[in-house]
Amino acid sequence: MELSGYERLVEDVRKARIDGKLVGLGLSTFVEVCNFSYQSAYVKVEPSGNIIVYTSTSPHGQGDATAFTQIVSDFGVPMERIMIVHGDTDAVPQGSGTAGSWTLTAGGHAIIRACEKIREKMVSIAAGMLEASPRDIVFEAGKFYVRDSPEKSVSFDEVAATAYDQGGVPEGVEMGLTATGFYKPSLTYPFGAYLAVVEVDPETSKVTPLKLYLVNDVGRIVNPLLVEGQIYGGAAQALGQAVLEEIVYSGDGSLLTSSLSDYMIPSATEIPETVIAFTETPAPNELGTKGVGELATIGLTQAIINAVEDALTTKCLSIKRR
Amino acid sequence: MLVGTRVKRVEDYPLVTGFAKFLDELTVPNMVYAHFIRSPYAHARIKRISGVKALKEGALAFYSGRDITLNPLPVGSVYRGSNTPKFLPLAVDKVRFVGEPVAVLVGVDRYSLADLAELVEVEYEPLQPLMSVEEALREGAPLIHEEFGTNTCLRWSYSSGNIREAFESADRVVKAVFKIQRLAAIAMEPRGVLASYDSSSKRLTIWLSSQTPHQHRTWIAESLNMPETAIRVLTPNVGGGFGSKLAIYPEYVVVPWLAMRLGRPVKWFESRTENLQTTTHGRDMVAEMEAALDRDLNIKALKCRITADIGAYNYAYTQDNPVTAANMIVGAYKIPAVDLEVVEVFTNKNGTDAYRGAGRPEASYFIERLMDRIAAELKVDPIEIRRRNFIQKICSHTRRPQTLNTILATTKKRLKNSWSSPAMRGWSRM
Repeated sequence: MELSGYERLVEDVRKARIDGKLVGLGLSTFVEVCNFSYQSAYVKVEPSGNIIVYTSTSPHGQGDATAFTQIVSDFGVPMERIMIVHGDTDAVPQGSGTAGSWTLTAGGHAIIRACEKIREKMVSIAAGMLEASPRDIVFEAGKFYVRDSPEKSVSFDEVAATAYDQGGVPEGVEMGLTATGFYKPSLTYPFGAYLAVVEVDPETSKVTPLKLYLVNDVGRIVNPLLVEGQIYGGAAQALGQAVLEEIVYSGDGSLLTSSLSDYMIPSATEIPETVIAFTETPAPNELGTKGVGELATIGLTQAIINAVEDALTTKCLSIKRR
Repeated sequence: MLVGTRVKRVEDYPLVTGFAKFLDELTVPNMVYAHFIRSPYAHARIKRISGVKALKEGALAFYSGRDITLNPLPVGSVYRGSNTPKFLPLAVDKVRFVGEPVAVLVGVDRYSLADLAELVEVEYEPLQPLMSVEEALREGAPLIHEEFGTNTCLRWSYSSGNIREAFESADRVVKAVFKIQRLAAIAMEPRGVLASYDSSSKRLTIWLSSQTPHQHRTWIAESLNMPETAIRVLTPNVGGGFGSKLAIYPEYVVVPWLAMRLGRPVKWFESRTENLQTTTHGRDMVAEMEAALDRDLNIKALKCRITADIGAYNYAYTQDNPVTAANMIVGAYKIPAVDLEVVEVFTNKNGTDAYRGAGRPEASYFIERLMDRIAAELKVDPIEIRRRNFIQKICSHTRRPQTLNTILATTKKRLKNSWSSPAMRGWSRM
């Protein structure tokens, strides 16, 4: 409400109506549930120290390779050395693809599980190389060293190379640097509060959304750019549901909306100014993430329709708003 | 720390420079194309199909549903007590929606194929189409799937709390009916499949515009009676899905079958008209709602009956979506008593399935429209009615709103085959 400057907004609507315009405000406050499905990841550190992450998710526009790269990079490896692979059942471990707003939370934690195993193994190898106990090994800024003596260290790449060196790998440590992680998520509950301002043309009944305010809680945000993209895209599809799109069959069963000249989807010109904001209530998982793919589609349609009803019901003017 | 920062997308360079390959840009040596002959009728008996003329004019192959024996398409969610129809990849005897494939034609390029398709003769005996829930449920209506003796796919219900008492003692009762219309997902890239079979290694490679390559591999293996390990599913760049690329479709079984039968790679790519006719639709539900309120504007009970027009066949999660809508109907509000009912009805339309939100947009739409209706009828501020009814307690462990707890927990008991539906796997862990 604060975001929208609600009181001023109500005043603007009141003035517009006095000028004879059919303008209305509509609200939607909602809760979602997501993360129905498990995911897995296979992470391979090559002898060079470059990393390949095989994810069971199957991104197709969401930008998850970017988010996953960020997550892996936070283990202490530069982004440009990380490659994300998906979409090949011969290569990636079993999982549930991309849907249901579960890619980042379920897929991301599967990657974290695998990375944790790799880190543990690298610590063992580094301990052997530094002739110390794994318990005393610290990994920082791309280097493994013994606590309290950072001057003597081995690099990430040296440890990776040693993992594939028959003569170098410490006694009792299995060769190679690969790990698989599976993650079974707990359901998460994103929520939001949306407000739409619309105008209805009394002559043609055309509904024009004027402005949208979308406050979202998707848990902790890994990449605001990607999350905003999901909210904009989801809002566009909800706007389509509210004012443009419908599959229509004739009485004899043929499809009347059989091309994109009959089935209207929103384009950039139909999408009004959209103000996006977030609250970040972390979900009870390591990343604190909930899910974002479907949120705006779940939240917005009814805000627009409620606004249309408000615009057309003059008695609403007498309703006290706060 | 990079988590939490606005890192630019790492996957964009090939996409914005045009080097990224999508399914329709892939070619394999010796590749041929498939073209599906589809029903122009919503409901009809197939009397006769002949591809003789097309074959004479140069088509490489022609098969109707009678020529090939394929298993019905796997379905993701099957609820106990539901009528789950058999969806054959190529229709036999009867068609149930406009666009349903009845035969497939193979040729060297898709343009000549489109001409050859004109030469395929299909004789139909039109039946009365049922284009709405009302028509489908009318006494004496023709049956879309005769074997069930009804046009109802599923009846589901749930009740908790003392509904009768809440309504009897209510200060006000507000009733409303809301409809959320049928949509298409309209992914920028339509569906498509390319299959290549290596008879020496007995391996099938399938390029698919898919959201779930592993699930598709499982389902295709099941359909073709092959081990999963004999199939490799690859997704090139995929141009959107929004739920419409989850299900297994007729083409995903027929095209690999053709590749094996003909010993040549076969590609099919959907036109936008086919996309609108045959790729899963979403929503199409009506909710009849009734709320009982006390003097202080607290909602004490909610009745909701959702009727869903699910079309002719079940795709992957068709049965789930209306039930999910019912499950989530309490939204952000503490409502101590609920009485929920779902009726899923067959009609002669394309089947529905998950579409961005999959039941949850419907739930939010219904409850949020109702909140505004209550506000209008009781002449209170729409913000105030919401504030009064918001959930105050959140389960500290799961951070799950408590009113949802009980409803969600009971849903799992209704599930029959929890192995394949991600939604079910989720619910069943409640």
